Amino acid sequence: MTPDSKQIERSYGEQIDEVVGSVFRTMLEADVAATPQEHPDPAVTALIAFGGKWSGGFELRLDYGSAVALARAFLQAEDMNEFNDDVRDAIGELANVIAGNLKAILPLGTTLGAPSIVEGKDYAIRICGQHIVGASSFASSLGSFDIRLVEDMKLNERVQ
Amino acid sequence: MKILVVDDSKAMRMIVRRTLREAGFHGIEVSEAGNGVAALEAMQSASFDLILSDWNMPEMNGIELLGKLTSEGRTTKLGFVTSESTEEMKKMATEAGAQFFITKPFTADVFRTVLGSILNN
Repeated sequence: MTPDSKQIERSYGEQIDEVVGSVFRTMLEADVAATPQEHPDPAVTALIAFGGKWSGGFELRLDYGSAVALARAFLQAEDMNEFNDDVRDAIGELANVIAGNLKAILPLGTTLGAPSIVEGKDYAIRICGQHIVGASSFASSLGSFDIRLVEDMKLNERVQ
Repeated sequence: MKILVVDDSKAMRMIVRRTLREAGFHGIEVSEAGNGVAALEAMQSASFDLILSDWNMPEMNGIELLGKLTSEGRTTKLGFVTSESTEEMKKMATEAGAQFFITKPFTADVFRTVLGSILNN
């Protein structure tokens, strides 16, 4: 069934878990498991905006060590040991793959923005009229991370 | 056989190269471009048998690149390797003349299956 903005399910936690599991098995050759609690103080956030028929944002949050380990596995680059532009690019692309697959469950006509990487702990990301519609935390042998899907409810109510 | 991989992510260009090797496509010369504009520039100095293009890219995206190639009468085959997975995007790509639509995440098996008939001819 094609998702309709008026019928859209307001919680995407299960879909996030499915997509993350698929991406890890396929492109990282690693298992990943959902964990009950968020990881404290993630220092790296990959942020992607959704627009068009559904406005909101996708966040992948993790610490530096997990970012490097995930990038190393993603690129199969054994000598990748420090957080640098290649890691930023890889984490942005990893977020892009996950967000792109989640887009399929959002209303037809939703568009996907380019990933941005935010670093540091002393910041907050606010989306106007934000409402978290999916949040999951994960652990794997490559590290741990959190994912949030945030809807701009004010804007989406106007679109509907 | 010469392939142009077009993606704004260096990481993904590396992964596509690696996946081509893992799929058993050896002896292929692979070049890279970071967006549609860079791809057109690359095509001015070299000819390619196949273009593997991302969809969402700055300056000129993949579907714009395909439209540009078609409008210029170029016959180079182009297919998408993208995180876009909706039916509307696949339909748009097919109608624009794309040879195939590979969705990220992908495996070497997917590359072998989808690209086999194109690269082995």
